[in-house]
Amino acid sequence: MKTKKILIRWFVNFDNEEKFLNEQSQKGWDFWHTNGVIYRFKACKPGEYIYQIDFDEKKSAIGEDYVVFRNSCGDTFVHQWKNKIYWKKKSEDGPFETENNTAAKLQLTNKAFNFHLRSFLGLSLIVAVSILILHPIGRHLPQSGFSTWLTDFSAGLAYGTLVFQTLILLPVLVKLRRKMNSLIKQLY
Amino acid sequence: MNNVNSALTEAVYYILLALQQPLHGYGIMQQTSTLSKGRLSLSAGTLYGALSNLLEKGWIKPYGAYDGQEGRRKQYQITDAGKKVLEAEFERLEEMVENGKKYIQK
Repeated sequence: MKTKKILIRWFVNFDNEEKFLNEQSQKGWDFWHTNGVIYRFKACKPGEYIYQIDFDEKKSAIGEDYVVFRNSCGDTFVHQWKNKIYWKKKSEDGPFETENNTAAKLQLTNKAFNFHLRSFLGLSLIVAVSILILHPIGRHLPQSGFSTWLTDFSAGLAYGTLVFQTLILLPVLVKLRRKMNSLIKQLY
Repeated sequence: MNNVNSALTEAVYYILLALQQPLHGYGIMQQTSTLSKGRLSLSAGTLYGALSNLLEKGWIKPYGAYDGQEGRRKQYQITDAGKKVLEAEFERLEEMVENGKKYIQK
């Protein structure tokens, strides 16, 4: 019998990613590692675990490490990729959160929004550097293979990043923003 | 931040109730679940955020010595300021229930 499995997936929306991991668990596959594209699984009892995706918190007033704190509360740390943390727990112990805890959902959505906003701003910086620095340098250097390459490369980088930002990241940000707004309405 | 008059969320109300006695994170989760008869189960992630907010507001404080050593869990306890907030919230809830009794016929 197969005891290991690898799936290639790419998610921008963490809701879909969480759903995907939970579906895999239902099929008897326990997620344990990812690099953002390759998802690794070990065999488990179907539906043995439930998963939650979360974003790291800076050490705040609490002074306890976030991962250590959650571990001590009974959640199992699975994996961290960049700021994203994957948690699991035995499904027999009940869900991570009461379904109608709007404030908690709002907090998590806000964390996700900030996470994507940071990527968005980071990519904007790449666009700015390409257009304002790399491209002019390429054009002002004496004509050579390198200057042509630099001009083309910086233009390509700027366009590619812009396309990614507008087509993929922006819709996610808009969606998270809408989700936050509808959650805020539920509070009042 | 310190507007005492605004309503507490259910989670904050139960956390403050639970912290009448010193508890660590997991203890708070169990206590809130017991108090609400399992209706309110806080996730550890939510609790972390809530505790750091409450510490910043001065409504709870760390209890006893915590040396950051692994395996040792930090405990928390309500402060006098926290007790005042809890009492004010209790009065607000009582008023709501009283008014409800007057107008809602069962």
